[in-house]
Amino acid sequence: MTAKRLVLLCILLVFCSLGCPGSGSATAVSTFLHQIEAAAATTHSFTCDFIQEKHLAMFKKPVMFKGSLAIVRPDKLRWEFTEPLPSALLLSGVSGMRCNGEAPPQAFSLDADPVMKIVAEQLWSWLGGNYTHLEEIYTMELVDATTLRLIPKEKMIADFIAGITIRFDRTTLQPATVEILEATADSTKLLFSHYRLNIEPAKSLFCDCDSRE
Amino acid sequence: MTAVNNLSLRFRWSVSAAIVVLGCVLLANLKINENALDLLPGQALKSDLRLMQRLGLVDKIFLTLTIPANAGSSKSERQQILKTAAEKLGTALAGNPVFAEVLYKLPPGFELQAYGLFREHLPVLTEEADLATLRQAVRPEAVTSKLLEGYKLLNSPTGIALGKQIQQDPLGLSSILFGKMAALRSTFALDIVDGYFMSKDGTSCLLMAESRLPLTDSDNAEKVAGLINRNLPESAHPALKTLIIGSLSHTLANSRAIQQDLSILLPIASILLLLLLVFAFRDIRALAILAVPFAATPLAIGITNLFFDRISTMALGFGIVLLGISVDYGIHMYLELTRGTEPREIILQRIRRPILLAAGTTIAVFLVLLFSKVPAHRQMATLSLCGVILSLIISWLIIPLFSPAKTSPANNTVSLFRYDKSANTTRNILILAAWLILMLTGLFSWPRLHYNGNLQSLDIPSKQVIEEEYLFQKIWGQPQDQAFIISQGNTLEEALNLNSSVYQALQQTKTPFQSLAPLLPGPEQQADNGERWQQFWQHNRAEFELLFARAANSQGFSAKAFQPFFSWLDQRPLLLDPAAILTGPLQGLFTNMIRTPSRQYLGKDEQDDRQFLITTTVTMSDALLPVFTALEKTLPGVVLLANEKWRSQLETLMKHDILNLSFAAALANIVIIIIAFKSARPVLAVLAPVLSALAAMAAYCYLTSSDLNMMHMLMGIMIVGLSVDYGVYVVCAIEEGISETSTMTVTLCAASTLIGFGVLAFASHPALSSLGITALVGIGAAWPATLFVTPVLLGKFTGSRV
Repeated sequence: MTAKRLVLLCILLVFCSLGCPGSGSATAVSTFLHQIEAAAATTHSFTCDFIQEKHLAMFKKPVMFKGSLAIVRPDKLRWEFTEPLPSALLLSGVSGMRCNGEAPPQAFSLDADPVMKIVAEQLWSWLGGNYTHLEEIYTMELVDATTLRLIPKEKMIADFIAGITIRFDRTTLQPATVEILEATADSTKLLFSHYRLNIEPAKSLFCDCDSRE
Repeated sequence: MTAVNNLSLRFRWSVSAAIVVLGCVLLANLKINENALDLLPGQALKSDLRLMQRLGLVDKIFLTLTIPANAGSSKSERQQILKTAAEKLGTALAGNPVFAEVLYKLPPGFELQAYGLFREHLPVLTEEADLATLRQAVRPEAVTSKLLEGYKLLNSPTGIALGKQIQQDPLGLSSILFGKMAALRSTFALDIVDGYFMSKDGTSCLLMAESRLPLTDSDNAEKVAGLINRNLPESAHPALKTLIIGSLSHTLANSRAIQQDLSILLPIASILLLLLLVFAFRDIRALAILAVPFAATPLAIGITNLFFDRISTMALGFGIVLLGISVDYGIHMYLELTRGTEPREIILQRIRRPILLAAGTTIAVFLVLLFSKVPAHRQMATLSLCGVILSLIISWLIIPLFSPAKTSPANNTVSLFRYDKSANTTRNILILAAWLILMLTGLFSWPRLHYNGNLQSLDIPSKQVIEEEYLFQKIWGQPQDQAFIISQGNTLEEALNLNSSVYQALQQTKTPFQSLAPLLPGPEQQADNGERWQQFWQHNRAEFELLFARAANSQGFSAKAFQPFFSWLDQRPLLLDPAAILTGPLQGLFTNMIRTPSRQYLGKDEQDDRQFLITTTVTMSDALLPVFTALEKTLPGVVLLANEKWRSQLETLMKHDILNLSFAAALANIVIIIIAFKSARPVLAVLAPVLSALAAMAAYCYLTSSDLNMMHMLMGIMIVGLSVDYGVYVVCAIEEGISETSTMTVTLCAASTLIGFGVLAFASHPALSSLGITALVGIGAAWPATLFVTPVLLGKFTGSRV
């Protein structure tokens, strides 16, 4: 597994491990993960809004993006920024599309684009609803009743990711905030809100850049 | 038994037995050569074929696992079935020592690893043509656009993964590499899915393997085919099929077709031949005639083996076939001894001249063939020459022992032709007219014949092979005709430098090609590229840095955001080490194109002939042939491997060889006949069967395909050898006016040849069929010409028995 792949895996964990309060011990973590899986099993699709805050050394100051996420399991996804720069990533089966504001959409096939193939593979391995196997890659601990911290076990991941902290909504079992701390001290914070579970988003949402809910 | 007594029985049997025993002893050391090189004239052609063997092209097998588009519920499910099957088959073949190279997938993450490897060395991979991309990339609007794109990517789901890449290459200069990586698979229409080679429609998966066993040998081909069949993963899905492409399927199709033909035709020919002899001689002892060539064969092969290190299978096969000529001496002796009315010693003295003359003309033909440029022809000539001489000796010693004395000449003499004397003039005119028409037809046809030097014309791919090759081309988008341009060097660096020169030359042709040079130029080219890269940045760096800093700042990037990129620009260009490539993630693809000496599987005698070989695959056409052959002249060390080139060279060499040899053989025969018969009339009469056979064969070839192939030529030699004998027998008989059995001799000889070889005309294999048809047409013309035309030309056509 390449370093990039593992980094992607980490970040996708954030997007996809939806729902898990708990506390302290390994048993508690395990119970907590099963709760997430149970919640995922009853969630065929959802949409939510998010705010992303990036603290990168490459940027002069923190950067904030707003957007929305729509998912229909097992293979449809729309990750869309609405502010300040509209853009979106669409996935539908092996086809995908990059939407970049006013620029023409860039279609890609997962068969031919190795980077996006890895992104999609990791994405769907997490969105499939089976979370317990993440324990093989991360040491998991419950910081408090609603906050889970993931520490990479393998050095290759640890070279990029120092840790991921996820705070879950107590009632919906969906992540409320996710904070990714990179090995370089860069960090990304995501705040999720307005979950709408088991709705049926329009199919065009996943193959048309201009489609709206 | 007076004649027999002249030479003691013991002496006759001792000499004959010694010939057989010595032959058997020498046979123990027989070394057979399966190498097709012996079939080719000229050193250049042989070098090319040897090069193909060193490259592993001859023994390469392409396996396509294919599944119908309606199998499985989705494209990804079909691909999963194919991946599982390819993994199973690939692992099994790779673990078998029979296969030297098996490529069925590239390692996981190979594209990203390859990207990482090549990106670092981008300066030495940037060619002159890529400067336009560089110039475009440093324009203000391009810089702004790329930085904005990077900004968005850093904030996207892939941002963490791509962060380092954006820092190192904010201008996207690595796009230069993508086109170069695509050039690696330009001749195949395929997608690489998880490292597996998938067709565009996702219904087929490609595997490549190279056999250590030469696949031009039928036994090896059967063994390798069995190995593959035992490991076929068709159990992975009921609809999964496997297409096997390469020399393997052709060797199998040919050997199986020949075996099937011979298993049917040989018993038929043998039964007919026995019936003919039994019917004609009505004596079991006559079968001794058939034993003569068999007794001579072992020693003939043994002697040939003394002159040549190894005997080609082709020379062995055809040499033995040509020995069939020597049956005629036995038939002639037997008939004369059993049907002649004179004392046996008189008969033996009388037939000595025609038999020695007949043998002399045949020997002259084979002597001439010794000067052929084709090693297999020389071996065949030596074998036949020895065989004819030995057969002559054995016939002379043994046939009298098996020939019962004549009891009732009137009853035993067979006369097949009786003519009315009153009709002689008209009949003679008609005969001559028919013969002249045949001659004119031959004269008309001969200059219009084309020698087809393409050995593939003797290939018989079965219907299944043809269909599978068509499917293979359809699935993988392979052009019909491909050629290989090989760059040779004593060191890898030398070969890479040459390959870079080939690449530059090919870029002018606009033809599709697959080359290693864009991603692994030679050290010289790398140094040039690096120099050009540095010059570019020396000219543009200051201005670029200013505009880049402004654009990055306005985009919100910090001052040190792209420090890794500028540090990389500051470095001296790093040369790409070929060894890193040969052990890197694209090893499978690269090792297919770079042949190191350790991966050239050669015979012991070729151990010194080892160089680094780099292959460039090009799509071939007749128009491009001169362009590619010019590369051989302008770039020493470059070799073009192309069917078009070989066909043309082979045709020129073979035509030259055959024309010279035919002329020399004809001259030798004519001289012998002139010396023997002195005046023009009998000479023409002797040669009439030969001329008839040649005219008929030329006319037949012209009317059917206008092509002469190697089989026609080889069989033609035999027909000339036989038909000149017929002429000699009949002319001697007529001139001396004492023989009553020449008609039967010629008829029996011709009939036995027609049966023995004529049945091959019904073979499905074109090589055997060519042999059979040539025999039918040639002997079919020589036989009647001997019986009717020769006496007329001699002016002795009396209508009585001859």
